Amino acid sequence: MENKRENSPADRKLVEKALRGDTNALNTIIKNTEGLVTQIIFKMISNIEDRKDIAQDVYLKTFQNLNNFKFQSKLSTWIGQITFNTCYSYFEKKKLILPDNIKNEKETYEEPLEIIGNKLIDISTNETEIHVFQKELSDILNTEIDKLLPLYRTLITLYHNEDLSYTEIAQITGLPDGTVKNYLFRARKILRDRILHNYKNELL
Amino acid sequence: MINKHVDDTNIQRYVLQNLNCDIEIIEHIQHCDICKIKAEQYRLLMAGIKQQEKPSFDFNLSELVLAQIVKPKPKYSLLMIVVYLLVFVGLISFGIVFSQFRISILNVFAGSSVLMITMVFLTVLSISLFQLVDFIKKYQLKMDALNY
Repeated sequence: MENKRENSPADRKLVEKALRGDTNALNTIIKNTEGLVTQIIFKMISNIEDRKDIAQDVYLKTFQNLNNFKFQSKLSTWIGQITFNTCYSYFEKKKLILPDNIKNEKETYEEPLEIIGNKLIDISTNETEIHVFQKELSDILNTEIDKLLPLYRTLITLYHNEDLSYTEIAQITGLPDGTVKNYLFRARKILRDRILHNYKNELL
Repeated sequence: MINKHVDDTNIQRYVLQNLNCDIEIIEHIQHCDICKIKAEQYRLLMAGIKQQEKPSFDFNLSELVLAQIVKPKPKYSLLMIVVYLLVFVGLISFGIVFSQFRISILNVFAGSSVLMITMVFLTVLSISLFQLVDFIKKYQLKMDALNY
């Protein structure tokens, strides 16, 4: 994925209009970034009512500080950063732990790779079976992603669902690029290990 | 080609970047069934994550936020309401005082000539006009200062 650090001229125009109090521009900013903001909030916060409050809070903060936006990143990345920080403040306020638990997530499972491998090779020739397998995997993934730490869930989503680069994710989360990469590798390994461990029989 | 199995990080790197990976790692994965299967598992995992449904709120976020930012302008400003209230209270007070002491007030003017009454009336009117002009001038100056 390429580095998308630069902002677009469209962002600049939008911000200028919004600063002049143009309601349509404010609305466009929300519509353009709502997907990313929602993803981060849903992955970080589990309480439904708190999600609603945080989403509003994010945009109120955004518009209050819009004149401080220096165009050093894309507008969506900046709003993503505000969203992540707002969620982080929520964790601090609620005395929840975000990054310290990461070590405990490092689990490994031994799995009969030969058996799973044979199954994968068998189904790889049949399109329907692949589709069914992927549907089953998707349901399982939903459950297992929810069990991950909020930070891991967010990183996985930003990278794979929102197609953000490591640099953009680093800007949003305030973590170094290398740490983002390492956490992503670790999160995928945990997911794979858990799925193979918990759903071996269902998938085979 | 390396003989040792490739670790998870490098297998993921291989799946993500494929040909940009170290050639020795690529060769090993292509010839090792165990690592090939692991790579296939990661490929499936990543494809599965990508297919996850995107979450959405069950309310209109834009509407909710904009309602808090763009407050509707009140039909009457607070200052206007206060002015109208003061005028109303003033008129009521004047009415009460006049109705209570109307005979005494009329007696004051009964002994005076028409010329005297006209002079008093004109003096009061002139003072009121001067005060009104002065008030408007001060108001204009304030507005100019606020508008740079």
